[in-house]
Amino acid sequence: MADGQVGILDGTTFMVCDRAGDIVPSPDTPLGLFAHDTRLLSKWVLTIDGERLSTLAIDDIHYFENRFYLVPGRQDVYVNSTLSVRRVHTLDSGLHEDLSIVNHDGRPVDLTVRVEVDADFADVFEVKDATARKKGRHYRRVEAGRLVIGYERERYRRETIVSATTPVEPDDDGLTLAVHLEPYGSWRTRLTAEPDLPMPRGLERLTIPGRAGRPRDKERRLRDRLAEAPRLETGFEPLRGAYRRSLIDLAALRFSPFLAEDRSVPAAGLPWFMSLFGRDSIFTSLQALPFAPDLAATTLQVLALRQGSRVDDFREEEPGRILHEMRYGEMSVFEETPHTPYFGSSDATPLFLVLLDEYERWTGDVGLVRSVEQEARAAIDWIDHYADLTGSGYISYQRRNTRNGLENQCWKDSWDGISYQDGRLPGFPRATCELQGYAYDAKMRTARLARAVWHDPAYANRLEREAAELKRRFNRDFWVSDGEYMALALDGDGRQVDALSSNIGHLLWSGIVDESKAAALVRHLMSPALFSGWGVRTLAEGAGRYNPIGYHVGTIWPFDNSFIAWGLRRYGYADEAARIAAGILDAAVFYDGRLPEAFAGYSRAETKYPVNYPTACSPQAWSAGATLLLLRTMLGLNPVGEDLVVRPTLPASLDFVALLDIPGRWGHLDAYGRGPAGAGGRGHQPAPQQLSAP
Amino acid sequence: MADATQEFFHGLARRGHDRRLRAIDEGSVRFDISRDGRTEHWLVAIDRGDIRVTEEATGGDAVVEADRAVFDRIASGEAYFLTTVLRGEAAVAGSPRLFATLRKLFPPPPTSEGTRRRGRGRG
Repeated sequence: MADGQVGILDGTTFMVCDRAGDIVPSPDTPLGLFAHDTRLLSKWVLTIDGERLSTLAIDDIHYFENRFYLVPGRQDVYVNSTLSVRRVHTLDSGLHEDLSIVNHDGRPVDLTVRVEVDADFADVFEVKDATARKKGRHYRRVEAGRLVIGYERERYRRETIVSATTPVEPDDDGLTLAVHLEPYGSWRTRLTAEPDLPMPRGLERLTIPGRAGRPRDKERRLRDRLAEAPRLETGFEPLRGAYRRSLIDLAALRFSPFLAEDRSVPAAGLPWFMSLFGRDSIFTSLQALPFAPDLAATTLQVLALRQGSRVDDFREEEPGRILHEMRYGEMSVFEETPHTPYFGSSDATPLFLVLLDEYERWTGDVGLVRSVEQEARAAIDWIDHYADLTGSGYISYQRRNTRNGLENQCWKDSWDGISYQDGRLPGFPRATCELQGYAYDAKMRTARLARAVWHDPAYANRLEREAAELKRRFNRDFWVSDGEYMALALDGDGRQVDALSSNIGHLLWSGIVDESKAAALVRHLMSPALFSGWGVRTLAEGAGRYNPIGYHVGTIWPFDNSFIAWGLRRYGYADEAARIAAGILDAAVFYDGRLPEAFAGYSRAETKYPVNYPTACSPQAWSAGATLLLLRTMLGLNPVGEDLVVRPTLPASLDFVALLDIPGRWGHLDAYGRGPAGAGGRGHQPAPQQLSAP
Repeated sequence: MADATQEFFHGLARRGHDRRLRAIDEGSVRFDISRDGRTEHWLVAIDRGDIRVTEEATGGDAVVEADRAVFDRIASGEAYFLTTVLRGEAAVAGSPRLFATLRKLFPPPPTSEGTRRRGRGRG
């Protein structure tokens, strides 16, 4: 979200407005009220006696509520108003604005309050790409006390109904309210903009993801949720703030896809990714396991229910494949885009299996592992058959949907995300390295489940044999011997795509790297070419396509770094993991604890502060999750059998961290860590402390 | 394809069992398919992968309503069940879980090919 914009969200419903609480129409910015991937308000501008208002203060009370304190008049004139105005925005099925005006003068006053309203019903994809091209018919209808704005295309219809709790005069362009205020009197109304989807019965549940009801319920649920999460104690105040921020943002991004009944999964990020993503929900659930294991359970169940069962080129569906993205906007519904759901990712399927095992290790919930046995086996079959496009035993991808499918079906899915060191783009199919790591890990972990839960030792042996074979070949085929690192990918001819990238950190996480090669990878990860001081860049300085503000070719992604840190710990590089944790958590301080999707790859020594990536999403689920996973890696938390093992290694200047009441199969346990600073050395704060608690 | 709907249900009845449906312990979906003011009914009962098809006008844990022309397209794989419903061309009521399972019964688009081993269509 850009500067000067204010957002509130509740699951997949969200509103982005300016600092006065207005939505001023703009074709290419995400200003508006959105629900189910559709813009329900593209204009919402409040005036009093024809003048817009000036903002004195904004209070973002909750993620679903904002308060604006304003006075009439423009910002460039001397303001000495005798009126004060308060707008309170809350979300549930639509937008509610509680508007109140107070007269501070000894004389009565008559005012004309006006709200200009429009709704373009743009698909969020049209907004993102600034390509509104509506094929249907817009209409509006003035009824008693309300304005109905609608859009119709064949039998598809969307409406926004605008009304108020006090008498209004509606017209085609908005509502007018005549207001009389006595001396020192006050006035209030509630303006509402709600979607109306005149759909056949039963369909509401298919189209509108569920939401918690009233603001007060939401407030209580958030309080409960925060109280259920482990308690963090640390001398580094910003970490407490970032931890709390992460829990709140993950709560805000939760929504109930219709298959989840009352339970929820995280949407990926505001504003462009407010929907179900296979990859993002799996990574976020992994990050959040020690803190909120219910996210993993719901994610696994929803993704299992929606697992691919047939071959569909347009949606890139294949039997056993786990979905990439689910959308309900007009372009998806009319099959102009393939997101109903779209299956074009090659990592979600092995990662589904990784999450399943990690979930069981934490929770001991064998019931869930039993209930998705068939889906898990289908996922293994997908890895072995549909994903192996070249017959080489590696997962590779080449899009089936050549019209608007994704070229890169790994997490670096922009068009230039995968390149040779000299900047050329490889041919297809592409087998990126981290996919092989995920496949290896998936087989090792599924083997454990097969033995322990499904009681199928023969299947477990087979999977372990295949995993060992994959690891052996991988270490031979991907190893760039003169550079001593793993290639980013193999191209369509099986040649190495030799760029040095952050992907090598994911390989450590998956455990596919030979012990003898790990030290070299760690040296690269911590080298100035990859490590900026804040974190590991997606692509190393010196690569042909390196760009410190390139989405997947030089920026730093907090989520990426959290998994790299986990990987470093897996291979015994605890100090290096702590350095990455320190860099990312220091960066978080500059964002008030809310890590963005990505920030620029400039060297820390050069800029002293992390430079914003221009269109980063925030909050972003797996960035919020990064703080959680970094806590896990610093404390060295690992479920082993029925116990939780704690092996803390904190950054040099962090004196202590305690995480209390960590839920799991052990009940609740506490973890304590002391850093070198806390063990007697003189601590120093790497980032500015605040004078008071936030 | 005038008989796609009939063929689809007869095919289901002949199939008798589909392992992809084992996620549903027990459940049934009724299809009300109308043409020229007349409505035909099929009740598809699923029990751990076993499928039973009867022509019953009542019952069902979930109901699908569609015109015959629309359903012919779904039954032949030309139209996709979910988007057809989301466009308002067919109506559904009942358990979302059943619909998630049910969609696996419908044939895939006739043009999509199976596995693509050894870089078939490499470009």
